[in-house]
Amino acid sequence: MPISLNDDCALLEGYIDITDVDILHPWLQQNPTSAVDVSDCTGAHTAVVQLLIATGATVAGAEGTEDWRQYLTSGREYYAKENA
Amino acid sequence: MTAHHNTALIIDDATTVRMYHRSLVEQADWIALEAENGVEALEKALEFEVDLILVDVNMPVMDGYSFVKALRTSDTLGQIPVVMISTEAQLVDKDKAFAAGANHYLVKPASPADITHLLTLLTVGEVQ
Amino acid sequence: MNALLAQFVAESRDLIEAASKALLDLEQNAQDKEQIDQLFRAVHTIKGAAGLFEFTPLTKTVHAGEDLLDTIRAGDVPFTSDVADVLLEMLDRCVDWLDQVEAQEALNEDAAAIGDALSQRLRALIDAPGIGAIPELSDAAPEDTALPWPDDVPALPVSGAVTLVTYTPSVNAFFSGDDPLRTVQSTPGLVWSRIVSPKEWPTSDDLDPFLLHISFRLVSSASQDELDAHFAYVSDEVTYEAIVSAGDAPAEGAIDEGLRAMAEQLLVSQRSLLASDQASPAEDHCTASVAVVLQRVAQAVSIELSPELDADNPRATIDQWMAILGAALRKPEPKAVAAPPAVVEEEQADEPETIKQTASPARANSHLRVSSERIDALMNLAGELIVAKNAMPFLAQRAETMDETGELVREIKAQHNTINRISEELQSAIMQIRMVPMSTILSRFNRLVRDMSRKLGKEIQYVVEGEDTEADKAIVDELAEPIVHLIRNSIDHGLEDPVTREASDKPRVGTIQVKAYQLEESVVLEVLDDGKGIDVDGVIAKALERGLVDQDKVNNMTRTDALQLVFLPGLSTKNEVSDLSGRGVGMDAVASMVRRLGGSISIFSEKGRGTKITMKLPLSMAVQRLMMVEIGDGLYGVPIDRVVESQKIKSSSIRRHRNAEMVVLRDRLIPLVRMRNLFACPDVEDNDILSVMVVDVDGRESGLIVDKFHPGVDAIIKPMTGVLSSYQCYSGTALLGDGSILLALNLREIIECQYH
Repeated sequence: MPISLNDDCALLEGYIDITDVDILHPWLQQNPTSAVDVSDCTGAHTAVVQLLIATGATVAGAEGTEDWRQYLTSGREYYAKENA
Repeated sequence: MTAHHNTALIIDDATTVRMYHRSLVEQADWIALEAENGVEALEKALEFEVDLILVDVNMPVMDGYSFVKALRTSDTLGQIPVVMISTEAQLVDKDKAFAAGANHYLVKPASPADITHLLTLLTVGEVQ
Repeated sequence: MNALLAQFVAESRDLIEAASKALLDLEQNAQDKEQIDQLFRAVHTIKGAAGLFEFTPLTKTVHAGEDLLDTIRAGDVPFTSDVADVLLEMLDRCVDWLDQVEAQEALNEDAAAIGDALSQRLRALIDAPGIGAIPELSDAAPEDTALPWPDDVPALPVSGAVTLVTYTPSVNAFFSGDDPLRTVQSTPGLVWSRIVSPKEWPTSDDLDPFLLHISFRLVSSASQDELDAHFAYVSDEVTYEAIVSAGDAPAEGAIDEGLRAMAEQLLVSQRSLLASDQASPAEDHCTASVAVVLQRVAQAVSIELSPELDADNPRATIDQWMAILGAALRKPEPKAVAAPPAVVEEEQADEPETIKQTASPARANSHLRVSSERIDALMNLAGELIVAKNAMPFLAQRAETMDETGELVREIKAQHNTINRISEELQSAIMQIRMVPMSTILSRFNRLVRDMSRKLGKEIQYVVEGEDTEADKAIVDELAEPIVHLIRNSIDHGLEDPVTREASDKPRVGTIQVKAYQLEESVVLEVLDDGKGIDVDGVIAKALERGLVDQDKVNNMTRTDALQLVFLPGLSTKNEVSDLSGRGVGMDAVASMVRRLGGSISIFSEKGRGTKITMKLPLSMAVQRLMMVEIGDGLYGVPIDRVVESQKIKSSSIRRHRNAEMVVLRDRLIPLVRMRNLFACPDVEDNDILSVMVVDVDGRESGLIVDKFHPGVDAIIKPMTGVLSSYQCYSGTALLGDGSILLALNLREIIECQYH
């Protein structure tokens, strides 16, 4: 299970697919101030990213990254390091 | 070391298009050879040392695809770089060009800048 | 009207005529596949050429016509008389438009409306829906002008023009299985992207997470083609803008942006070609052509490629090269991150302007393409002017008898000088037009050498020196054939195979060198090889055996003279005939080709060391300066470049050896030819003082005993025609200023006559 939920934190691990929105969305509705930890999250479907942005979730572990997680920081901007 | 005179073979059934390409080729200080169809082009390529071929797709007698395919079977001419220039702008046309063995594809009318850049990049350098 | 436009009008008219004819034939027999093809091709060709100009209504209309014909050709739409009517109307309209283009280089104002209406009618006939929606040509061409950097995009480490993509996927994108963020992140050349949120989000409770609310802005350095390919499935959800990056001028030594972009595109194309499915021999050649392209691109942008191409596994090398080039061609990192957009904007505004200026086709006007016939006509006129000018000294002579004060004579002479100077300048100016560098032919032989040496298992390098040497185009063109034969001879008979060479302490790789240089009014071409040389004794033996010379003559020959025997018809030094240099194309053929051009040829060879063949040709075939000599009662011309010296000698100084007469002049023994004898003129009573003109023929000097020397004259030598052409001792005729005809002597023949 890539998502572990408890009261004060949601831990996202590996790749989070669109189907996981069904779990994450209700949790975010119930715990609007709890943090979502993406430190070990390798990727996520657009719907997941959109959900985190739309609900204004508190995201931990995105600041300072150089990958897609930059979208989850305040600028919603992603700077490609190297264009392969 | 000796300077090489770059030679481009322009293949198009439209005289106007050949003239346009010739003017760009000559401005780039290349020698321009012309042919009206694939058959004539193969003859020219065998007769002269050609460094680059600019070929149209749709031509009578032998079209561009058949020409490139035929060229690529030749031991002496097979490795000459070929650029196809055609009015067909669809992706499939591009794929067909590569399948025939072309090295590049430009949509006609190719801009003077594009052709000039192409010639600059495909100039034969100093010959040892 | 410029030549290209004139050509377009003329060619299009021809094509319309052909199309009309095909159309009318089709009305008789709608199933005639060939006529449909011809009609399609004519319209297609007009469309292709029209795209070079800005006649949008014309291009648009013929494009619609082409599409209609394409569907007819495919059998999707039947060819009916309605179709024929509209197509004929289209052709008529094109004729009108071409008239307008010819008259005013533009279409009338109503053309756009007429063209739109006509295109619609043509497209209406295309049954299949959707085909009519093919993008117009003018839309397909990407705009070159780049916009200034937008405010909502941060300064980025890019230079030159990049593409700003706005991607607004449909609200239901998730239901069709799309993952737009993945599409964004895998964009080729992606530099930056941003998720654009809607102005207002629904509250968390009202949010439907399966509907897409966000959109994307991204900046890519990839080419338009790559972006088009990447976003092909969502093309209607994407818009592109070319933007100019934070205006840093291209750094010192940096590659021009347009060039870099094209190089990158070429790289992408090479990958596509390698990925394509090719049959057996073609596959290797495609790979080789990719290697050629990569090597040339690398050289053009000054990038070192390593390792060397592995002949056994070229694909592996190519992959490495691709990586090197790909990295080097990536947009250069700017030295510092660009200034904030507000400051930058002004500089950016300047940049497209400068780009436009450098790209302007100003050079197009600095070259004129003129057919060689026109230059020939000009050359002939200048030649005639020079000949006509020669009449003036005669005029002065005649005036002398009538003009007592001498004023008229002086006047004529002064005018003669002026006209002389002008006509000479005119001639040399026209000559300059006709001059082309030898490289136009010499560079062609690389392949010949390569192919032949491979075939014969020899290793040969081809070296050209002095390829910038210029000569008359006619001469240069004619020279190609003799040079080919000489090179073939060298490869075939001269150069040894690598094993033999190494055995005789020579470098493995043989050398064929072609040297061109100018010597006074001639151009000299030398073909040298470092092969095994020619066996002079073998040549002499063969010549004797074939009865080409007799023993007496051989005894009098120096070894260098004897070597010249190879130019005699019917003498070949190698017994077997190779399939390369072929039967019958011997040195004699080469010699006669060179002589036909008014040139001379000589050979020098050292056994074991190599052979040198020297050809000397006039710089131009036009006007020549002739020395005039009198023999009997006639005047004859000798090309001045053959004349070594003119001397008066005492008849007592003539030495006789068997039947030959000779004279010693400055330590040289020069054979003499009594021209009176040759022309069967009666002998004059023995003069004690004889006039001798020493001429150089193929490197051998001979003295012609003539009656009298006359001044030189400029003349055009025309080849002999009719009955005269059988007299081999004349090379041609020249018209003199007083209307008389001068016979030019064919020195070679004259000296040959003397020998035999």
